[in-house]
Amino acid sequence: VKSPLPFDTVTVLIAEDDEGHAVLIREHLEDAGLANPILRFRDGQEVLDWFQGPGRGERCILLLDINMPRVGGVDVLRRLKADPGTRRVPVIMLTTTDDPAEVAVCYDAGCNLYLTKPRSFEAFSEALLRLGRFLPEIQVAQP
Amino acid sequence: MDGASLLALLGALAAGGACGAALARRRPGAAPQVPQGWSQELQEAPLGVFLVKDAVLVRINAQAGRIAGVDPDMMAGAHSRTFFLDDAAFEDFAARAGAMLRGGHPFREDIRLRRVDGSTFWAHVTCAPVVQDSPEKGQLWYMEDVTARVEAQLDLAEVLSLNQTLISSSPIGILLFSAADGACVLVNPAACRMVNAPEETILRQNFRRLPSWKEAGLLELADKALKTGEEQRTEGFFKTLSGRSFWGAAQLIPFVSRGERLLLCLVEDATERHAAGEALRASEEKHRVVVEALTEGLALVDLTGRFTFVNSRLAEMTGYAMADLAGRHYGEFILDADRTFLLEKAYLQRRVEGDSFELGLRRADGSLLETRVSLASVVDPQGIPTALAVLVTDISVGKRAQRDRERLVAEMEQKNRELETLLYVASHDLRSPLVNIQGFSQRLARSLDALTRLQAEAADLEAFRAEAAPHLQERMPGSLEFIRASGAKMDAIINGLLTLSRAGRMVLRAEPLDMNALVRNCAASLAFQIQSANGSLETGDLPPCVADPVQVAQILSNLLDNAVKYRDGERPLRITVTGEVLPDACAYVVEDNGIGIPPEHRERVWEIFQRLDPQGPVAGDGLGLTLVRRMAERNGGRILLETWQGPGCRFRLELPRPAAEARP
Repeated sequence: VKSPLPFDTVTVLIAEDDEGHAVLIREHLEDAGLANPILRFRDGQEVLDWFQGPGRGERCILLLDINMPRVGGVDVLRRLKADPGTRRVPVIMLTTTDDPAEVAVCYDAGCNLYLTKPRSFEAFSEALLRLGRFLPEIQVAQP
Repeated sequence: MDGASLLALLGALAAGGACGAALARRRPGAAPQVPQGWSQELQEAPLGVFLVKDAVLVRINAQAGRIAGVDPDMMAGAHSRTFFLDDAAFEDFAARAGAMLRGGHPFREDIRLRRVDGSTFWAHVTCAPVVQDSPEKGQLWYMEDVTARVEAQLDLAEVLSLNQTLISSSPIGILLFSAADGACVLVNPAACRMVNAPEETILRQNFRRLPSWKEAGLLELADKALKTGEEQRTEGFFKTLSGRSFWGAAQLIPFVSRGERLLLCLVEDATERHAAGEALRASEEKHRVVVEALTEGLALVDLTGRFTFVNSRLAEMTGYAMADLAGRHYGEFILDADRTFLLEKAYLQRRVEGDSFELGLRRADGSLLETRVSLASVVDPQGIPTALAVLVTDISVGKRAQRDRERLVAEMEQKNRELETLLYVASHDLRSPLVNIQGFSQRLARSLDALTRLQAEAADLEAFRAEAAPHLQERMPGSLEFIRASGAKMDAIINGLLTLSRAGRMVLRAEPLDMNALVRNCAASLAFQIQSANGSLETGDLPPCVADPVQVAQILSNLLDNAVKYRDGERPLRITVTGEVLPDACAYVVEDNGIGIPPEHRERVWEIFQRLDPQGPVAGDGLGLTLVRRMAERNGGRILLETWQGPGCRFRLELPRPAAEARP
């Protein structure tokens, strides 16, 4: 099986507080042949902490749940996009609703893709692949 | 001088007619020549005697000299006009006296004369001819000094004339009656005008026979005055002879004149004054009735801000006695001290016409009275304000209705928000476990497919077992566990929604609550947890409120329970509960020194199913504070999470305070 991402070195980050959702996402990615390293975070604060610490300068792609304790997905998105060091990290929002207002908020905040959970686990691989095409451009020149 | 000597003198004068010429030739200052017949008696008579011929003084006696203030000897030969005020007075006298004497009559008159020193005196002068019917042959002027009598007479005449003037021109009616027979003996024009009858008619009346006197009680009063000798007064409607009625003030004064008992009646026509007084009384009465019938409070405030008048309604509204309000400064009754200052600037120092605004007043028991006040200046004739009239309308009922309406609207909005939250929960929180159920069902299905395929394709049982093991031992039980847990989570959410829905629908029974007892009960059920946490709970004196006992107990339990649950392990737990009476509510503050809530999360704590740290050590359904807020609002109160200096949380719960009249 061919990896959907052109670079195996890109780390896939999953920010998801729901244990079941996290398992399902990871399995779908693995089923699709993804061999990249996967890191899972339980809330937004863990994600931000990782980018401030070990993840600084890492090439990565973030799957971000919206409804999380402590710091929610939309806040994480905004803070990543406001920081020059993380602004170019591709972000895919994952949510249980397709509320147009929420979709608009996320795109305004600079997310790359918005996916609704029950329908779209199958679409993850495809989405990652499409995003992967941008990765060579968006991942150059990290500070 | 007796008649004999006078006749002797006259005889002598008549006999010696020739002496007249001699006298005429004498010059003043020459040695006096005693005429014939000028006896010693005449010389010393107590009557002033002048012997005059052709208007020249021949001789004057000692008494005449005393009266005229001259030396009798020096005056012989002087002209008689010397003693007159002026020539005209002398000519006048000479003409009249001459005429009388020539007509054979003596001349007698009081004449005002002048002494040599210039002073004047009154003399009663009698002129007689020395020779009967021949006054030109010489005259005797007898003279008495009657200055005292004449001046007294003149004074009397003046006084009488003044009295007459007073009586006739007085606006006061004057009537004089004889006490003996009751006949009217005097009436003045003012009395005629009042009675509306001519003087003659009134003078024919007798007060004892006048029906009007009897009707008006004047007869009785007159008898009393005459009997006691004391003046009597009365006031009332008098009906007169002519049928005219007037409001009169009468004075009956008994007195005695020349032995006769008289009754003086003074009457003043007070119809206009009475009517004005009556009108004023009527007007005042009208105002009094209106002011007391007002459903509004009314106060007059002087320019220093003190009450000069309050009506009973204002006293009733504010719970004070009217006497307690009099003289007090209006500022004492205004809740907001800053407004007192502004009101003073705005309304006491200028002319106001009908300004109106809402104002919170303090009742005697300290409770709030919501009012609308309308102001108008009371001005003097120059238009300068002298006081401020304040009309106070109790708008508590309207305000309460408005608040009820606002609460209703807020409640509706709250319901609406709840409904939206419900939809949000349905789409997010319910969907989240649903995603798991769907996802893990699919995974089960895939495992089943894999097993079915293995069953068909496996070479032998060993191979099947080896291939099937991961599915049977891990994936399928794992999937089932996720599905079961998701189902349980959905159940929990639905139960939470039902609980909230019940709290919103529960029929409330508001009653006065002893909050001290209520907090004691809640604390008692948490005593074990507090004790194990090495904690303490301190409670101040809590004022009573009016609310549903079950829900308030739930609110307090929740707050105390949270304080215990979210304590900080680093320090012993301390919880304090204090109370405070506000003008329209009672506040209860629950403070702890636990882990607290970061400022950025303070609003989210009230949202349904929000938990700050779901993975934290404390279990919870994310419903507690949502319920607490819901219940506080349903009871007509509110709850706030206050910002404060300490660690931990500080919740402020406000609930309706008991109505003023329900408190001791």
